[in-house]
Amino acid sequence: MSANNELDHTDSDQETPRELLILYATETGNAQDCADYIARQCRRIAFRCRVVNVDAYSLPDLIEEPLVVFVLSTTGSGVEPRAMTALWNMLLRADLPGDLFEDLPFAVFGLGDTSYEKFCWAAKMLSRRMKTLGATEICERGEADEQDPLGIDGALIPWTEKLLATLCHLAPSVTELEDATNATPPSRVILEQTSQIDPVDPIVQDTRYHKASVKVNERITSPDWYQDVRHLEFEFQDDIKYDPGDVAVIHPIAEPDDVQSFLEIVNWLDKADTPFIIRRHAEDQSLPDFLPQISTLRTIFTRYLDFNAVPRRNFFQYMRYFTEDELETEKLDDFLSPEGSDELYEYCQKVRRTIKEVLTEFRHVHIPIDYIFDVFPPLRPRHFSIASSIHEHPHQAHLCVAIVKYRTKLKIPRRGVCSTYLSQLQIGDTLRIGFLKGLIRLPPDDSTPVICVGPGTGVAPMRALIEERVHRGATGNTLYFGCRSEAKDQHYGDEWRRMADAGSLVYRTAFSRDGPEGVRRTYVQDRISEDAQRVWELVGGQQAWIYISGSSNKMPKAVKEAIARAVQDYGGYSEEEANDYVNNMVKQGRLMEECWS
Amino acid sequence: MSPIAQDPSTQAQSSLKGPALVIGSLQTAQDGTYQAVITDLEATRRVDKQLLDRLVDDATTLEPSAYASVHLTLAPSDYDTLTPKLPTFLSQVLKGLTPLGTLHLLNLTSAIQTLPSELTLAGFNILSSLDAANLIAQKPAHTTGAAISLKRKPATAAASPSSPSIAAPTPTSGTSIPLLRKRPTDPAKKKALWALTTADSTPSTPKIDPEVLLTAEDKARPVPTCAPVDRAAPRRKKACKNCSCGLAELEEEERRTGPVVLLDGGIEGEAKAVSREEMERLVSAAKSAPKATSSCGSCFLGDAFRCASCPYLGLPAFKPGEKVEIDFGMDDY
Repeated sequence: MSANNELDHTDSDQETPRELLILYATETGNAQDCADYIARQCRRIAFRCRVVNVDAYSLPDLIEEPLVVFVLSTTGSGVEPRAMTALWNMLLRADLPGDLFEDLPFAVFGLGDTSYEKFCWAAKMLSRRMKTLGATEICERGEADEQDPLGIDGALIPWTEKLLATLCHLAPSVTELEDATNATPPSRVILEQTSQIDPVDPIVQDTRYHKASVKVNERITSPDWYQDVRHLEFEFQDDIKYDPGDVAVIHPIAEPDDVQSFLEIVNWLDKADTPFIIRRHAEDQSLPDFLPQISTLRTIFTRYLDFNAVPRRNFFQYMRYFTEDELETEKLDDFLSPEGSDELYEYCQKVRRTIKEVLTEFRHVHIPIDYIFDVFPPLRPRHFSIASSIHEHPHQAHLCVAIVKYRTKLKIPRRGVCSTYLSQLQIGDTLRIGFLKGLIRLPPDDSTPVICVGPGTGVAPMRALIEERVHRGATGNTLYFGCRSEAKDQHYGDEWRRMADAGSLVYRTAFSRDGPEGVRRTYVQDRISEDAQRVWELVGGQQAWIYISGSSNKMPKAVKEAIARAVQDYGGYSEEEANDYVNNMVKQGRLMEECWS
Repeated sequence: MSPIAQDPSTQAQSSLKGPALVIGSLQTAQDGTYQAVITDLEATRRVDKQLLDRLVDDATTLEPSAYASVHLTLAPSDYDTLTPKLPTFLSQVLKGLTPLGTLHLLNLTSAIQTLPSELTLAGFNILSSLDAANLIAQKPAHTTGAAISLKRKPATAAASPSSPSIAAPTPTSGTSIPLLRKRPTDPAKKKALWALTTADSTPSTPKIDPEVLLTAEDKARPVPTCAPVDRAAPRRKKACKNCSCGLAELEEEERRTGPVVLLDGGIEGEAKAVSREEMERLVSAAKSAPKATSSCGSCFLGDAFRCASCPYLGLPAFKPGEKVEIDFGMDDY
């Protein structure tokens, strides 16, 4: 693939722009890390990168970009990250011409896990679709695997070298490709002490976020039940608007005591409350969303950086740069070597050890404060399906949240960052909540029956859908709810029974751990199988819409199976035809899933 | 059975009463679908009939703006043979339609992936498809001119009637990628089309099925990296959610039956392994538990520096002499 003859370096009009846009779509921050890494490596060939979250990118500009690298992960169910859904749906439109992006060279780096069948499917589909829209793929797409001994780095490092070589070939310059170096990279910001205070909080200016105050924070599982599930109600002054199926975006905040003990561990207590101007030093590296221009270390570690995250490999690399203690350098060299990757996994990933905990064991590591945005990952916002209808509860949004707490080999229990934050909210506390379009929507015709399948906290968006339907006078509603114990974790049981008594809901339950020992447990899919005839009447006879929400493990597949069997047995289809019927329901938008891992 | 969505063809209802043209083929004439369409339409308007071959072979030409609607009923193999001549054919049909007249493509198979973009290039607006088998396109009120040749690079059909964009210079040498160059002109039409696409948030535009784009190699199930679990081998990772190699069961078994180590966190503290049943009894007596000794002296440093058999594994680092308190009351689940 030779392109040398088109490139005339002597004519400055034709000079090749050494610029590149890296668009990332991340779920847990891995794709963002990879994007930053690729940008740093591109410096070696004098390429200037912009690293942008696809969520924050101005999509109309895509058609004029000189060169784009897409970095995206794929979820366990083979789907693109939430941040990318809007762009992806636009690219899928059938009316786009085959040469729309013919002036756009691009490359794709995908992140995935080979323990899932649809490994890197989002990246694969993106690459194929861009090509059918005329774009030119400049090098073979990368597919990183979590299960690789080196994890994502196993593919990231060699693929990036390939990308650099390709770029050198397409845009030769007088400087040669610098070797990859082990020296400390420059920090992405410089912190400049100041006496100014910056009152501007960028999130206040984002119209997607609204100020909310906590009205209710109530545990809805039995006090003696192992799991703490909360029903939260938030009140808004603004005229907020959301539809059933939409999602609330919440930025967690670290607990003050936790931040204090962290600052003590890293020895920053003396400057914890000094205001600093945050000056960008490396333009091509990402920073946390909504970061203000001036802040203190205490605020930064409370709202923008996450010291309770489980660190990735590059965190250990930075620790290596910043310690001189022999015991520590030896250990870190071990951890970072290919042979030591198993040991690193056992020490850190496997037991979910946090950055704060690691730093208590590596006490001679001195991180310069300029490097905090390189070393610590951003505090990511979390998404929760809204559990209420705005028409039923004006100016309010409700959530149903399971507080994440579990044990690994570490004696101190692991806790979810955002659910812990929500659990300790007091009545009257305020926060900003954003609203995001969900993946599910109600049928336009209220006479269409709906079947909701929402076990556990999957019942949250179902409550929104059903409240809205009942409010509109649509009574053709069926809810399949599953949980472990009828008495201890039947979320909103009283509400469902009231609606059933009033004739606006058919309420079917499955309590998996209530059965006797040794007997096979009952789940929602079993109830659906019991009701197969009625299910067919609704689905085949009345064109019912179906919603599945909850854990994306085995449940959605088992539920769709049960529906297909109902179609087969009562609709008179063959097994294969029945499976096709259900798949077509998905394609037509009559069967929607909102599931999370 | 009433459709849930609003039938988009009712938007163009007023023009359907004008004369219609039905285009069929020998196949659809033989199997009767051609006649069925004609009879259906004749109930409400004048219907002209043509066989596809005559139009494509230029044996007849259509009168400009003669028909309010054109209905195409072909067999899958007819569509296949039509594909190479599609641009010319579509431009003929476009001419023969009145402004805002509609073209109905009936009984399509999924093989015609490129049809929507061909239609757009020829100057049609895609109204909607009622379902995958039928497609409705509409001639705009004002057409921008003749169908655009597919061989040249620039300018796709778009709403803006701005001056035609200058084609980017094509490379003189064969295959290569004309990349990474400052484009001398702004490709206005493509920009406009993409801008329209990104501004339009209605989900009603038909979408392609992206899974169809994947090759067999793309879809091939990745080679599983879990061999059946080996009890003795060092554990590289924890069990996946859909564990099929037995690791999940092994971990569960260990959780249930493994011993618990109780100890005093001081540097001279002793370790004692007890079974889970004894744990409850011993918790209350933890203060008087006998002391143990450490032979390496590194126990207080933290897991990173502890031996594999260190009794303090899993506990945080502590200062020598410090007592580490763990609340054993919290339940596993």
